[in-house]
Amino acid sequence: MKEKINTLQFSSTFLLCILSSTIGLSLYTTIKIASIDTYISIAIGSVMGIIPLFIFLYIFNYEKDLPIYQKTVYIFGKFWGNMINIITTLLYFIIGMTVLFNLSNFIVSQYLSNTPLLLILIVFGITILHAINKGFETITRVSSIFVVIAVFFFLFSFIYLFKEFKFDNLKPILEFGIQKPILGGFVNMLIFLAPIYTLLIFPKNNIVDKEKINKYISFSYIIGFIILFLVSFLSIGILGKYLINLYQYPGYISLKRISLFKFVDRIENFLSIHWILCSFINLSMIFYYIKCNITKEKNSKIINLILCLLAIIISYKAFDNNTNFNYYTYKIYPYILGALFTMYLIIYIGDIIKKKKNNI
Amino acid sequence: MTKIKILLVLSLTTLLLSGCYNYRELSDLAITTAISIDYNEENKNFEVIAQVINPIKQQDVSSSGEPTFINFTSSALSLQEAFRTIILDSPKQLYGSQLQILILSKSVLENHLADVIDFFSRDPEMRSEFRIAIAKTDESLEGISLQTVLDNLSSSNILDSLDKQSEILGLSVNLTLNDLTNMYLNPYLEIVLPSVFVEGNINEGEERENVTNTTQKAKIKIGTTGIFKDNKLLGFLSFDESRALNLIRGDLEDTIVRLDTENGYIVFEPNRIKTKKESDVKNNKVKITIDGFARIKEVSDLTDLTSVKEIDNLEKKLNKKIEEMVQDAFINIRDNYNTDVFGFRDSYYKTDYKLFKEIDKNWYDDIFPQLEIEVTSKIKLYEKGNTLGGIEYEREN
Repeated sequence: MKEKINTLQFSSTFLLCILSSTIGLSLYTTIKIASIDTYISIAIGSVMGIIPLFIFLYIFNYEKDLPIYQKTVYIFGKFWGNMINIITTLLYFIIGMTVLFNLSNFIVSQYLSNTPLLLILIVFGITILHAINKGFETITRVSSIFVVIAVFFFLFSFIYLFKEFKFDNLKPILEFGIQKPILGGFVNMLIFLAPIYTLLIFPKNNIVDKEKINKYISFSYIIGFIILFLVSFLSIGILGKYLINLYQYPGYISLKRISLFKFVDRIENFLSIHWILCSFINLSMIFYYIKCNITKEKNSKIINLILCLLAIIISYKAFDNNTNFNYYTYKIYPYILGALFTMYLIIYIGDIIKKKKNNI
Repeated sequence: MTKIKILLVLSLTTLLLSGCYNYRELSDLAITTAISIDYNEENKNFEVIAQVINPIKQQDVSSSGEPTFINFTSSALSLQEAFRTIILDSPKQLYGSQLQILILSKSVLENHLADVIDFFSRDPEMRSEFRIAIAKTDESLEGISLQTVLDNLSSSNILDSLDKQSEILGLSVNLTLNDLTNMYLNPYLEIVLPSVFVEGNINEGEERENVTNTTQKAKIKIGTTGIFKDNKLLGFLSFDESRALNLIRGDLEDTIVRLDTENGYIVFEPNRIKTKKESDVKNNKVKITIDGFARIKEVSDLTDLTSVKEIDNLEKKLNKKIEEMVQDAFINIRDNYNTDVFGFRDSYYKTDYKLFKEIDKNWYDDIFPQLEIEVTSKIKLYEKGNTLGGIEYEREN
């Protein structure tokens, strides 16, 4: 891996990966579990998320010259290391298909209602293919541009939506106890932190100003969580208990309230574009991770093409319709994310044991 | 080779730049700005009227003598069929993204509200920010057909009237689809909606002459608030009750209040009003505090407005008048209709849900009829316009 990037590019990608779950997946699943206490769930999730973040930083700082698939081989040996790589690759492939379908489904249901889903999947598939052909450096460079757009649009939406916020809509707080918000927080944490491990594909030593990386990642994590929290807090405060449960994309529905100077309105599609940008970066990272695990850094455009085609075809055929997809995201997806988290937990424990052995 | 590749990519990109996959030209759309819906119980049909803008430039339309809008009517067993079959009359497909106003009949509101909400909230092309009103009479449903002068479209006319009266008079609250959906879904809220009605002869109002005369033969007017209980329309409030209801709900910002005096009257304009509600679930009581400012707008009395003492006195009288107005309206609505259109039930639930769940079963039998409100008005009288004293007072002194 000869590519060189800087801390800002790396942390921008990190932040966009976190933010990509704000549309659809994260909010939908958490609302299903915690209803109007979703914002509490997200706050709890942010505290819980410190553990996966710590695991990420620990693995990232271990054997700084190696990408994750070589680290696993180094820690567990060839057989078990490769087994772990295969499992994480498969899990990420499922996550990639989920994010791809979620994004396409959002676009079909809200923007282009008469456009075939397959066409949208293909358009995104081609863009992702181009991004992974270009490599990690290009993806992170694009991220550093997208992050400005995403944060600007978010701030803009926040400022204009704040006057619509009604504190009363958040009440009653914790009517059904703290258990559901805790469960929601856990699931939410799994959803938005799953994509960050794809960044482990990049060895720390290839970052130009790597001394600052831990600080930048922690800062991106905090910013990401503040945005996630505010999106849920505002959506619930604007729509209330019954409407957030009614709509599939409450965050997007809240954006419909924005009206500038009472004559610039209907700008929700424009403002929601940042979700698409975040999801694009997230998908690019996931498929780049899978590609690296398969090709071991050799730039094989044929493998990339096959990978994207498989993702398009399988996600199109597997989910079939959005009712199936919603059922899957609520009932099955958290377990897939849990399995992925477990894999990194194993790698983390392996790291510790290996370090201790080396010290002895 | 690279140049050929670049050229090929650029050429392919131009195909995508022409627009979306299934784009529709603006001229192919029938931009719908108002809809009214009725339900015919005999043949179980939804009867709809859709107002569609004449796509020719609005100034040209007026000068050419063409109508600024066209109404299409249709009826079918479902709303989707009713709207879709309009294509049999119109060469263009209805496009609801610019919808401004939706007028619903009593029968639709009482028996088919869920169908209407589902139809409008499911369609992603439809925006949820349009206003909703009840047709006070069956004839009012055709109010969107009337020719109007100050606005080319009757839908804009109704929308502007609704918005302006809400801003400066506070007779009825402005409600959107999301507000109505929330009231429908929330088991602790009752529905309230503004009403509209037609004054004059509707047939004459649809003629071109309705906009060429200085006095319109028919016009659509904003009525008082319609109140519901368990989705059944109970009736329409009086002018003062309607404003008091908005005041209690915290939806009133600006209005006028007339204070009768010994020799005449004084009219105040309370503005920047803010209502705060505090529910005391245990004692079944709600404390309402009204804050804001007021100007003197009209004086027909010998009151000395230059006197500080007199101004203080007027301020007290104004606040007392507002408190009485709110109390009277509350007692009338509570005793005559027994419907909690004020949102106290929801407020109780949000304040103390544990205690609320114990008392909620008997809400309309025991709790609401005994509910009391304590109103405190703290409106500050701060301005009286150009003149120092009243004209009558200046003449006498």
